[in-house]
Amino acid sequence: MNDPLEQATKALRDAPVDHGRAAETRARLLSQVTRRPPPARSRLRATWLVPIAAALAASAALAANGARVAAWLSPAPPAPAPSVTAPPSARAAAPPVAATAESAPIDRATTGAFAHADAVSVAGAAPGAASSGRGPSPDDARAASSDRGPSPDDARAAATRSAAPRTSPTGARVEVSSPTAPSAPAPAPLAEPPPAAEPPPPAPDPAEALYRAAHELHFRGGAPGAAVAAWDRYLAAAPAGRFAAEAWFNRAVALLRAGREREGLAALQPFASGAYGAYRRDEARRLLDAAADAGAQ
Amino acid sequence: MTDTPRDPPALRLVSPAPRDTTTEQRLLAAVVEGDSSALGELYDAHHEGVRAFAVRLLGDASVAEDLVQDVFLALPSAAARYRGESSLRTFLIAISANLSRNHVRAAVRRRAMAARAAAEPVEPPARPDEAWERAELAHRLQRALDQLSIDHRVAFALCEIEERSSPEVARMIGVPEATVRTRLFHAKKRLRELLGGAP
Repeated sequence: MNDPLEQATKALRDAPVDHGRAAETRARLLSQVTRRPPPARSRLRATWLVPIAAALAASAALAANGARVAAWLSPAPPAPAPSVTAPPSARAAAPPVAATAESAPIDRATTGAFAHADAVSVAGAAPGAASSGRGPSPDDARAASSDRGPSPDDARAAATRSAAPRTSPTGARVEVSSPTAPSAPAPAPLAEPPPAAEPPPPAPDPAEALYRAAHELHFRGGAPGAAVAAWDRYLAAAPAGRFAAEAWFNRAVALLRAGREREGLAALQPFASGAYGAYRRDEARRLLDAAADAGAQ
Repeated sequence: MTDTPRDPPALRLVSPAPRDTTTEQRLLAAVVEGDSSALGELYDAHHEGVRAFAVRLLGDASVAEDLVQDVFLALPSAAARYRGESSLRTFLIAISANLSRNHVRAAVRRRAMAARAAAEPVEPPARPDEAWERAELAHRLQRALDQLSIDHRVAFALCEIEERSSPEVARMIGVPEATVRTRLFHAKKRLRELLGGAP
């Protein structure tokens, strides 16, 4: 097997896999599952039922207060309201965006597997939302709604823009919450996207944190003894970590700096002898030579 | 008086013997209904296989861990499509492959950041032992994989590292078999170039 690719593939295939964080992932998984929204079918049902119910309620309200609404819509109102009111048609036309923006990506991303003829490509799966099983972010919901005509947010934003012509690159969202239009009627709450579940913060890698701490102490700390201890902590946590050799080398240097010459020189020997290949070999040899010269003087 | 070791919590992290299909189908049905304990059982049975694939595909243990979590989070939704035509492990690997594109960039970013932090582009072995060359080869391949598109990367990981056949991979990722072969061809060609150019 002389093909380097084959050799590398076999090496990667045979490389051990650390399952040390399996329990942590299991706990995260189960905690997320217990907080998940109801299954997609229920969400889908809600997608249809909520707007229908809202339309019925609106119709009933309109029928009950028809005269007042007609007066309100009349061309010469007694006291013209500020122009922050969104056109009712815009609000009425706004489709619900909450569940529709939520349900699609994960199905596309996950059930494409083994779909055979009806396989759905996952190429278009939205990053993040598709993978995590978490609800969409408000941005996702807004993006989804933009294809479906004006949403209440759009209407509010447009109305607010007309009332306050200042524009900013941040767009409508800033202006909607602006206190310059406190009397603006609240839009119909139906189409507000649900608050997106906050993704859990990524679990920190303790070994990486130890490495960073040691690195900081080593190069900026000015206390070689503390750096030695920090490297020891990292090496105890990740004796076969990705940066273990670097840690061994830096530890040797820190030992020398701390005045523990015998230990430091001994720790440099494997590097100088090429036990790590060319990695840090020359530096180790230079340090050993310098130590030998200093000892000879 | 000596302390009697208490039983560990009800957490089995070693993959048990393969379950029979009926049991897995029952667990899957329960998972679809939102049974978290059933999901935990399936996790216990299959997390190692999923993690092994994720680590080799992504090359970053932390990001792979996120992918493992996402795979099992997605299982309740995806389970409805499972028809038992393959093993559940294969089904889970397929979900992993389909979700991996969301994690590849994070893995590449983390690797680059870690390499910068160490001021050393080549991660060295931990100790001067016989595994040095093999570890170095694996690392080189992992870095070369970072240069591929996600489609080529997944095709290579499934066909070459997982040693699955083209038809099986085609079914897993929902593309024609010819597409899998083409992706694999280009992936290997590019990897050979990258590995050949490395010291």
